[in-house]
Amino acid sequence: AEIDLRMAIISSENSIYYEDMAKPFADLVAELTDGRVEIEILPAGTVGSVLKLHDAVQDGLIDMAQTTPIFLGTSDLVNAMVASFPTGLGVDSYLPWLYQAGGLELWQEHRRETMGMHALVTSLGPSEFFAHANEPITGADDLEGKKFRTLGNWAAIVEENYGVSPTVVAGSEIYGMLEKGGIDMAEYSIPSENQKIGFHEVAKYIIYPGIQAPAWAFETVMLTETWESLPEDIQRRMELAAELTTHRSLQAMITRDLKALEELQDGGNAFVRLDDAFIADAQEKARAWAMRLAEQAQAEGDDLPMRLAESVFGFQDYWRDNAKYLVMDYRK
Amino acid sequence: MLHRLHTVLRGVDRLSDAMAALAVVLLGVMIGATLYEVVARHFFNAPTIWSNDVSYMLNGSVFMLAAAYTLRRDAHVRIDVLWQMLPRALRHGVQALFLLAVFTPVLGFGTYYAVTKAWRAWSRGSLETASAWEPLIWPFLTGLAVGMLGLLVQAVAEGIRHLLRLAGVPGSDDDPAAAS
Amino acid sequence: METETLAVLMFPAVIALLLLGLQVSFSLIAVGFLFGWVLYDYRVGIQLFNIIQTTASQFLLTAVPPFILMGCVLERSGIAERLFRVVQIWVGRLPNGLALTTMAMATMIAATTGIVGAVEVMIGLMAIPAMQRLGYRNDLIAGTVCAGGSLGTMIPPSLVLIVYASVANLSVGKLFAAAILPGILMVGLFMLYIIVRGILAPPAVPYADTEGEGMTLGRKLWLTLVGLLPATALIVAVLGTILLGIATPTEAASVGALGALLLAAADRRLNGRMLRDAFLTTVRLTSMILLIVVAGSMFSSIFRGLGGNDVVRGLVDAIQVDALGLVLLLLAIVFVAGFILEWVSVLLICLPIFVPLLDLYGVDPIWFAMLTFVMLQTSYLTPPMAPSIFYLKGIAPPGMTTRQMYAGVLPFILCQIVVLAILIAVPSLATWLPTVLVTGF
Ligand code: NA
Ligand code: NA
Repeated sequence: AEIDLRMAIISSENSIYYEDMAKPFADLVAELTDGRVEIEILPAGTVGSVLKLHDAVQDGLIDMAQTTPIFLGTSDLVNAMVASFPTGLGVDSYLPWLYQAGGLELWQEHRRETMGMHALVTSLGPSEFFAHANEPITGADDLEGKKFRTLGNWAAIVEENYGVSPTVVAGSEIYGMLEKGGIDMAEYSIPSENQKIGFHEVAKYIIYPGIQAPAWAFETVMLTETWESLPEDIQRRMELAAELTTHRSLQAMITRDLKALEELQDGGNAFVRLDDAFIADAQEKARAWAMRLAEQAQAEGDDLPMRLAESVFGFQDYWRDNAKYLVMDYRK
Repeated sequence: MLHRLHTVLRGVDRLSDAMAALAVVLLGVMIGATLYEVVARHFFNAPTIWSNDVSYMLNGSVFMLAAAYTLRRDAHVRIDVLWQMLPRALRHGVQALFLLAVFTPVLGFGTYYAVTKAWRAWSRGSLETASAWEPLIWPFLTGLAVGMLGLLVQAVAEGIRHLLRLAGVPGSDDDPAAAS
Repeated sequence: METETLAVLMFPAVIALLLLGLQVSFSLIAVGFLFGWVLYDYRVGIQLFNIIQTTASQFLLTAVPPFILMGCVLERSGIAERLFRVVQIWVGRLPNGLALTTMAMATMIAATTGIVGAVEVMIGLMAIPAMQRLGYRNDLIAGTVCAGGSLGTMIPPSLVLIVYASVANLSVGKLFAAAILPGILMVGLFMLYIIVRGILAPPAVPYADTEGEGMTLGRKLWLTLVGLLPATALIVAVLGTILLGIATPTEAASVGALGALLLAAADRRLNGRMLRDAFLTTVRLTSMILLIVVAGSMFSSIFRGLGGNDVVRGLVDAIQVDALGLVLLLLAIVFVAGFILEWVSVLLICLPIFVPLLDLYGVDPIWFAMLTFVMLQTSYLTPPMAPSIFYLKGIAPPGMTTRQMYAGVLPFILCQIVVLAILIAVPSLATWLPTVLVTGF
């Protein structure tokens, strides 16, 4: 092809990250550019750690990486917030925020200013399960003292506010620890992914909705120089491919998850819904956590985190206040 | 001249011994940290956020820091079925050539980046982001870089030793495993 | 030249270096690096460092040094020797009794860890001196220790199955359950071979010190209690903390190391010199094992970067077969890949290509997982890249030659092939237990 790009991803070829995100994006780019751009996908195990693909792009080892900002850590609020934020934007409100309310521009500004990279948002994932648990959990009282396998800012929020003992367990050891009661509850991923691993086989209760990850986006990053070296029409077509893949990936994954839900609800697991009061309280606590970091950054002369927090929270409130006329097609 | 060379080689050995001693201490700390986590989590319902990170960072440092010492003891295994049938001179020649002309430059490239990355992490105060705890990452990278540097230096020393044996220089012992 | 051709050429290149007697880990790193230059030019140095950092960051690998330390301490404190002496009282007249004991112990230790190498090094440190003292032939000793070590992954928990489950999207619990019967079958065949060989060709110095001769039963029982109790208690403690959910299998290794140190202290065998020796041996063996892991990952990452996957895919696509033919072909690919590549890479390369085909041909994924799993056990023993032999060489006494090791593992490889054949003939050996044990709610 006229332009060949090597793109590393975080998983192997038979994962949702390949099938629903990377492959459709690469195919669409080839199609929309009439084959002028060819993206070679490098699955896990080709370029060092899948947790450090941003580094691999900056080192010039690969042209692009499709990954999550979560792997950049939580110390920079923007990275902790753009892709997914506990009690943040949902599967309905995330896309309008991203494409109509300036979300994408903030995201790209941050990548350009702090990392010298260009970011295309190339997928959106749906809500996760809140947890697989050995006891029913509906709210704050049930969470008190629980050994909860969870990560990142959510771990900090539940520890600080609800007396949870966040427990670090390697992904491959969650199943065993849940089975033997070494931990009380664990969050991992979206329903279909959790189902494949089989957490429902060892923990009776499935707690929902996954307010710790209502929706989560993946980005495809490359060096700013790489992006700017591309002809303008190619850039436009790649942006189009990115946006289309973002919409399609969400639908593909939801479709998988619905199938998982149908099967799980037919089984012997008990589904437990979190209290609305707890969800509202958790949102207050999560926002307070974010605002604290944003104010800190602002005091240090970086106003982007504050702009982002205000953008997300402002849009979320606006959406909630006015979207009540929309028909959400599910039974409560 | 030769005497001085032997002194330098022995100095390199001592450096490797020192790094192995450090690895032993770190291993002790690693086991301690793991046991602390088990007790704190199970008996006091107070799991730590740092135990996993500390454990793998120490484990990674341990194996890299001990790599030079392991080479000195000729304990990085090799398949010796055919090798033992080769003439003595050829064995030493091949070893010297490989260590000095192939392995040292290869490891040198890797070590260069190890040192660069450790230095950058130190000067920028970078955090280990792929973790729950997000600690500073330079101590871990420094452990790796020092271990790789040590292995590099020891690989050169062993290459030179093979050259000396090839030349039949007296005092170049033939059995590294017996040297302490 | 097509990069796929280069990918294939990596194999002869590394075999040549290995045959020249160069360090296994260094050879793999060097070949990976030089071929990687084609992909990354000088930046292949970054790739090498990334692989080192990635391996060094693997939490699951933190189980390696504590397990080795456990073996070193048990050996140096004399606890291991006493254990084997006691066992000799009872099984001294059984053909190859001590080798059987070693295999039984390996099975128990394998039930506590899933890490390749940890079981082998630990069991080898403890059992080799005892078997040599009784005049066992080196090839039997080597085969027993290597095959016993391979059980570390065969008997759940198993790192191989954890990785398999995640790449093939299967339940870890079901795979663990599926592995139980094949695992028992394999241990049984190993033991059968040891017994048959003991009858046909008794040890060179036949049962020189039959400890139990003329001993009263009471004394025998007392000695057994004193000798067997500490080591058994240790294994029970490690297994117990896992089963009770107190520790993960990875953490349980450290519990075992502490236990061994406490036993040695209670025995008044713990002193500065012993401790220093045990720890130094541990870091040396850890370094050797983990550098091989680094080297295998480096080699494989370049093999994949050059399009090694496409080579495998091309092979599969080129051949027209029925379901059984497909299974056999895929197993053959795993077998060949396992000659050189380390098992994680074999799974990462093969499974994404195999799994969709299994669906297409209607092959039971759990059954196929077990076949692949057994095939991978075999690759652990087959030269030239036989991790089990490398680990053994790290702890082998001077008199034991590589040739004896290769000869020693051969019969055990045959046992594994028999297990594979039985599994192909009787799929329910793999598929029945998961339906009984993993029932959900
Ligand atoms: Na095991
Ligand atoms: Na092999």
